[in-house]
Amino acid sequence: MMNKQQRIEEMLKSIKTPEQVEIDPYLVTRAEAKLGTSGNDKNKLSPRWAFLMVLGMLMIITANITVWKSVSQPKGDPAVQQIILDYGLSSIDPPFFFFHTN
Amino acid sequence: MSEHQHRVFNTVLNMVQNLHDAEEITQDVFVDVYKQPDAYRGEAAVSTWLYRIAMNKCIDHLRGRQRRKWSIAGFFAGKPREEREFNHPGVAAENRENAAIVFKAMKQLQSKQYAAWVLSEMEDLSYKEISEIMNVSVSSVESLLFRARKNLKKILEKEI
Repeated sequence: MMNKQQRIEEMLKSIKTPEQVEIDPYLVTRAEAKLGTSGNDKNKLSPRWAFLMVLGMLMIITANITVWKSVSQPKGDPAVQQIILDYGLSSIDPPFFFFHTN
Repeated sequence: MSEHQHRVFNTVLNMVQNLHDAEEITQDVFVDVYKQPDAYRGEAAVSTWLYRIAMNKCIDHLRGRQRRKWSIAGFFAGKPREEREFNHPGVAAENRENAAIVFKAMKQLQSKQYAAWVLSEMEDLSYKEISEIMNVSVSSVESLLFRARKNLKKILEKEI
């Protein structure tokens, strides 16, 4: 049976100076194509990031609409309703409202 | 530049041990060279400079693969890269099984030891040439190779 050290030496020899592999003749053409498009590649957005961004935006819009609706519900008190009508407070601008909840 | 393509490609292939990855990295090396031809300052031979770029790219590639496996950014970086299989057409068929084991063990070496080992054992370069490419002294190359061999033997002893 082969000694363990001999086996290791044999394994290490297996990678010694492998044969030269021929380069793909189209590699240069592909590199040139890459040169032309490398600028655009950097601007590409990964599908996962795009999905995450859309999901985040949907969540913000949903939260905004929910809060806007809950606040713009007509109040039960007729006096409050009268004030709202008198001062034209019935429409609340959502983006403004989003930052000023009081 | 075309005269260096074959050499750079084979060095990269020896480093990453995968034909597809080697083609991609070789392309990247030449794209970088074409984009920044002024980066060559004439301090070393063109081949040494190209070797240096190629080695750095390979180390980044191998390190990046390790990082991507565990990072959150890796999750969002698009399709995760699978661990590439050993695919080196230059290794004789009868040696492929052993070479795959050695390459797996080599991945556990420190990057400098790894690079020195590939340049010495697979590229058959002299210590002086390796020291110029890696920008270290000849005695450092000797030390790196001594430690690489010792560590590889230790790892392989556990493997077999």
